[in-house]
Amino acid sequence: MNESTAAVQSRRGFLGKAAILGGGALAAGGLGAFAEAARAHSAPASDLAVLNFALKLEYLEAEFYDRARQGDFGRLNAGVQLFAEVLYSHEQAHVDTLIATIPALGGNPIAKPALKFPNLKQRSFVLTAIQLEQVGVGAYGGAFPSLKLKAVKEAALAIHSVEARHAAYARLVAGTLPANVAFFAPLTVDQVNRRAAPFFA
Amino acid sequence: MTEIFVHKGIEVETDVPVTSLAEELGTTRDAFLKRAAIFGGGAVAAASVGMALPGTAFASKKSDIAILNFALTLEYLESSFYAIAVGKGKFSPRVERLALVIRDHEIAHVKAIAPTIRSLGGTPVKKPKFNFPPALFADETTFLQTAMALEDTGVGAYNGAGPALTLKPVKEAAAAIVAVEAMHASWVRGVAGTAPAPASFDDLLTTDQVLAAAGPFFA
Repeated sequence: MNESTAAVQSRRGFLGKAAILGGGALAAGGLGAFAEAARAHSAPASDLAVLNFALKLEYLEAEFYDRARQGDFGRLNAGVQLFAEVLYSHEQAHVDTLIATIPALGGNPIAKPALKFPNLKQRSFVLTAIQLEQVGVGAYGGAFPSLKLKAVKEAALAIHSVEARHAAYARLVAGTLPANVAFFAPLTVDQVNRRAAPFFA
Repeated sequence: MTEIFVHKGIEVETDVPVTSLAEELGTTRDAFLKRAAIFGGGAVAAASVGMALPGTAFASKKSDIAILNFALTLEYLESSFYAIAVGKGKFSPRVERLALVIRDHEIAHVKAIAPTIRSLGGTPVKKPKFNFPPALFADETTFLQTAMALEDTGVGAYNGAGPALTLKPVKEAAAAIVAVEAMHASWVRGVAGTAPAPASFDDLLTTDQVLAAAGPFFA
């Protein structure tokens, strides 16, 4: 076996394994963590507060992308439409799982808040998406260190990095550097509230 | 700054500087840009603070040190991979920039994690010897596919290790780093023409799963 053949086989082995791991993501990763959370029966009040805070932000994100994909922010080109559709489906999945998980842990999910959005067009929609996703990343990153129940930590982490992927996706679509810092700062609850305030009616 | 983003054969209109894009936000533009600046500046500051651990003894710091050393190993792997790409790869400017920026981030992670381990009384692992076949850097597609697998594995590794962390500053630092690894993964995927965010929930990998994925790169 010459060197390049070995290299290709090694690479295939690696990529093959990665693909298997990637395929397992849905089953073993996020949803698995939620299933585990649901079996835990009760979470500390502070964990439930974090989950409800997360639910509030996920409601905001889901409706934001739902409006975008339905044309509220004007005509979107095919790439931006796809971006809106993909992010809507993810944020709605986060909403659905949080709504199901919070009662299973002994809490009451908040009702969907009243939301308002500025008059956006394609470009300002994508820029606002960057802003919202970065708030989401900072919110989950900021809340993570305070979480107590293992299953809640797992679920929060499984969502946190998806929000970070969204932020970079939005930045790609906007034409700016997708990852512009080596460390992404976590946000406090107050910082999140200040940044998200304009969207709550 | 120009960026062409192609996904499923669709070219996204992105050749407009972000500053002029922001003008459509009207009165909120200044606030938006100011916020973005605060964000960028704050990230580095907060991470530095998070990394500057007090020298106090913690009961559970041993397990955190082990996790940090595992993370350091992966950061060495990533930074070495991109360093070779920057030095030897002959890529388009777009992919060159990706390799350069991500290399610098991974080096910053190494430089932050090693002293953190020392401040906890641990010994940082030495940089391992790696085996990166030249074929990995022979063309853009192979490089991007490998980068994608490495970044996705990195995200899963931090996510998988996160719940076991015990010290608040280490948790904060891990969150600040995993977010950036996920941004890298999304970026590489987008440039490779595949879905930047392929699932609603990311993976949480066990140590064994990470080693199985990254194993071939250790000499």
